[in-house]
Amino acid sequence: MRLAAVAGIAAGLALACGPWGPRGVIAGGPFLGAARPTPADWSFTDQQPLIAIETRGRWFRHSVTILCVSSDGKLYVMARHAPTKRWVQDVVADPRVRLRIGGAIYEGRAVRIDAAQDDSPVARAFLRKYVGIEVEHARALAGPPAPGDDRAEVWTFRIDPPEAAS
Amino acid sequence: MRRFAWILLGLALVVGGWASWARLFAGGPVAQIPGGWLRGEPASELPDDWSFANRDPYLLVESDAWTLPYSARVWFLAHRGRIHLLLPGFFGDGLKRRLDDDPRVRVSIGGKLYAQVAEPVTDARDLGPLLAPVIRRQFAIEISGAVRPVANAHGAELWVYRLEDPPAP
Repeated sequence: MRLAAVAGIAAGLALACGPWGPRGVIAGGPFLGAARPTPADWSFTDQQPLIAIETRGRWFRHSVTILCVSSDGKLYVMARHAPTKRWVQDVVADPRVRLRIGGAIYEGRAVRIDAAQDDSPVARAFLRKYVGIEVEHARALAGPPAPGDDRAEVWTFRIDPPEAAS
Repeated sequence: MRRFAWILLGLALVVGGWASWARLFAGGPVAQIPGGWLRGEPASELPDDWSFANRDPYLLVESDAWTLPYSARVWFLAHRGRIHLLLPGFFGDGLKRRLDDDPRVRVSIGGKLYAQVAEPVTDARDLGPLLAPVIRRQFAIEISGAVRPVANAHGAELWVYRLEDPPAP
């Protein structure tokens, strides 16, 4: 009985914070490895359908697989149903993140932006990358949906260079 | 050392047992993780208009194309009376590859299971009105005007299937 309890706790901890990053839809813990310098142009991420983000929780580092899009050389990451996501809550509390993109690790600072604008270039880049369409008009909707509106609440973060250590 | 080995064994059993249960006996996908046979009551008749399904944000779809049953929670839209599946490549193409082998599926709506056949939609003229509500619902982006497919450098495609009634036996 005690062995099963220990195994269960170990399994939970291993899945939640094992030092191997996320595996598909299963969250992971901290990335292993050193970070590379922050690139000036993130457009190379267009080749990566999915990337992993590592956030700093209160007790443990937490990592998940997310979508990303580059626009004008900058990198943006999105969270659907954002208020319910643990990684989003972590980022709001502490914006320091690490990204694993194609085997390389980069440090950054996640800054929430207001993506709501007509013909948003980020929204258009997102649709081009993930839906495979070019649209005449695209408008990102910000803020929580009105009662009765079943759309997702999407938050967009821009990844800025990390703040220099003081 | 022996204790550590027992912990590792227990860990493997817990994770493996849970994964086996989720994959086969959970009655459907568990969150984003694909499952096995869908649980529900087989429907005695098929509706002519599937618009009632749009009240749900996702559709549970089961394919028995390969040895093990496979079910997933997918994006969809009932459009012009028929259900359309929208399968994005970035979430994995598990269902898409199965549909290519065997287009017969079962879908679960309101606890009832309906047999359908998935047919790929390739006509770009249908894309705009079909995608606009889904993109708004899932990504909070409103689109309007002309929509045209573009080739993606990384191959994150979106596959669209329309569900039709199976041929009468």
